[in-house]
Amino acid sequence: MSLLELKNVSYTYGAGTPFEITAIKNINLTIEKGSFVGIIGHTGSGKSTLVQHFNALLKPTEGQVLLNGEDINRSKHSAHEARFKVGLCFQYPEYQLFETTVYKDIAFGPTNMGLSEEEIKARVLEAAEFVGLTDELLNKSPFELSGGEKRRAAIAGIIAMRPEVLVLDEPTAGLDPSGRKKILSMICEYREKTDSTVIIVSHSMEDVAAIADKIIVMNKGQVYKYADVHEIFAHSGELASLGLEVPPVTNIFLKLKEMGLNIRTDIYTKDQAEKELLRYLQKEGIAW
Amino acid sequence: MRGTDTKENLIPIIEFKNACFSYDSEDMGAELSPAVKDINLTIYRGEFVAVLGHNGSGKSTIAKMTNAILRPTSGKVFVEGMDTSDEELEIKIRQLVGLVFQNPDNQIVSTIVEEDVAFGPENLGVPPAEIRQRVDEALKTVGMFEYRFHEPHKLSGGQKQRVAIAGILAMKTDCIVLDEPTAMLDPVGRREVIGTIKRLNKELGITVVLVTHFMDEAVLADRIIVMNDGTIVKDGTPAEVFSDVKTIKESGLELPIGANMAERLKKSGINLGKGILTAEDFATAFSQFVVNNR
Repeated sequence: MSLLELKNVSYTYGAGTPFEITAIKNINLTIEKGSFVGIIGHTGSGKSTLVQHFNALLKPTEGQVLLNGEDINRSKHSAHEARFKVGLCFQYPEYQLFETTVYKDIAFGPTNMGLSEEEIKARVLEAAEFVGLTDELLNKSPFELSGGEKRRAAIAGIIAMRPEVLVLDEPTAGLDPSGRKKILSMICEYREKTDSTVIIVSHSMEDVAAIADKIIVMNKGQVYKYADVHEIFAHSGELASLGLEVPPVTNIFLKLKEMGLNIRTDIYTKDQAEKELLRYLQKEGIAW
Repeated sequence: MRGTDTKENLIPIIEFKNACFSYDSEDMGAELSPAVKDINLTIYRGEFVAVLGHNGSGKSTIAKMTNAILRPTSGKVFVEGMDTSDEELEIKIRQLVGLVFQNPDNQIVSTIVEEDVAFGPENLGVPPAEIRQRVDEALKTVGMFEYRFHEPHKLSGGQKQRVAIAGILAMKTDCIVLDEPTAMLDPVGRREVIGTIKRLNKELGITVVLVTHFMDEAVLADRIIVMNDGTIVKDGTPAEVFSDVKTIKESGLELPIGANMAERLKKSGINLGKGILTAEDFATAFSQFVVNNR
């Protein structure tokens, strides 16, 4: 079932001025309910402009954005509602923490939704649990937290609104390997438990390949490709031609192929890689 | 560098001697554990050293101690024999060791690229004619000369970082210390910055200390230092460091892709040999293995 639908959406920054730039043009796409979508593309490809249309932060210059079949920009009220239904977490969200306690910061969204004190509390605690913040941390100032904890607190603030769609822009940027793993497994767990739709924008092909079901490849303000992860990485050479990276593990197979080995190149996770390498050795009669 | 020369031929540029640092020492009342403890480390001229460690392991603290932004709370840090605890030597020390930070937007001081690069030498009192020459040269070295009249805030992240590096080059520093310079960049920006860093080291002989989270950047160095819990837990060539899988895992790090896959195959009884780090290394070793065992 389609949850979010973009119809012929274009957006021009500074329309009517000498600095006019069309950031995205003629976008048509459908995000299915419950799907896990990764958006990739290099800087300036229109990724961030695109996701800001999902919750009416930007209003398309042309075209329509439909949530559950209804145009989110049809009225001020519907645009306002969309902010709660589609939770958008920006890049480096920890810079946007501002309250005196972590609790109040997470409660900011639900409070704006006009919920009861009791309901707010339930949601803050639930969101904190999802991201692995202890009760003790909730009473601290957000500025006393470590970098990774701050980021998780910021994400909790979005989750606490119980959005139908969770959109995360570069959730792992700047984190160390274990911080990255923690955030990614947290997102996967959240999705499993809530059955919600998750969209993640990332430069890290490795992260996207490991967790998403479908991928949108943005290029020059347009959707270059929108397909299952497997389908996207079946053409890894194409991604490279767009200036995009392929997952590091895919590189191994592209190189082996170049060296003349008859091996698959549509490999994008380490587990797949191990299997394929062993399969190859078996086929060649080297291992058994 | 290391491995080819013997240690006696190497000239130290930065020396940590039993250096400790705690953030609670000055104005914070709270008791905090020391950020780095009893560090003994010598960086030699011309080396390319990568420093790895998880968030909070003390690697940024070490970076800031190399040019007297932070001074040891006990022990000593010397730059070319000069004690960083001596405030009178501060300017001389910063002329030798320059720091590049993580966030490109926090390092811009001017509205024109070339003025930004001139900021350092101006403060050192370098004569104007020489500043002109140094700025042009530095911008050419990092490949940003054609952007000299641009506004820095309109550049991409990778370009901003290269301008920051040019600002340090214009001070004619012998050593550049970069604290996660690519953490906020996209893949293209990362490639630009890492390419520049490599060139500075290999072509100009500038000593490079690169603090990073990215294993694929660390493998480019001559030497890797792994930090955990405020101490150095490993110091060696990339091949040496990444063959110690236990320490890498305990330090919250991961293996570079080639080493990771080689390790996985080893568990299935397939030994591709030592020193496999990158995707390239792995592909070469794997195809060789196939030829040898067919």
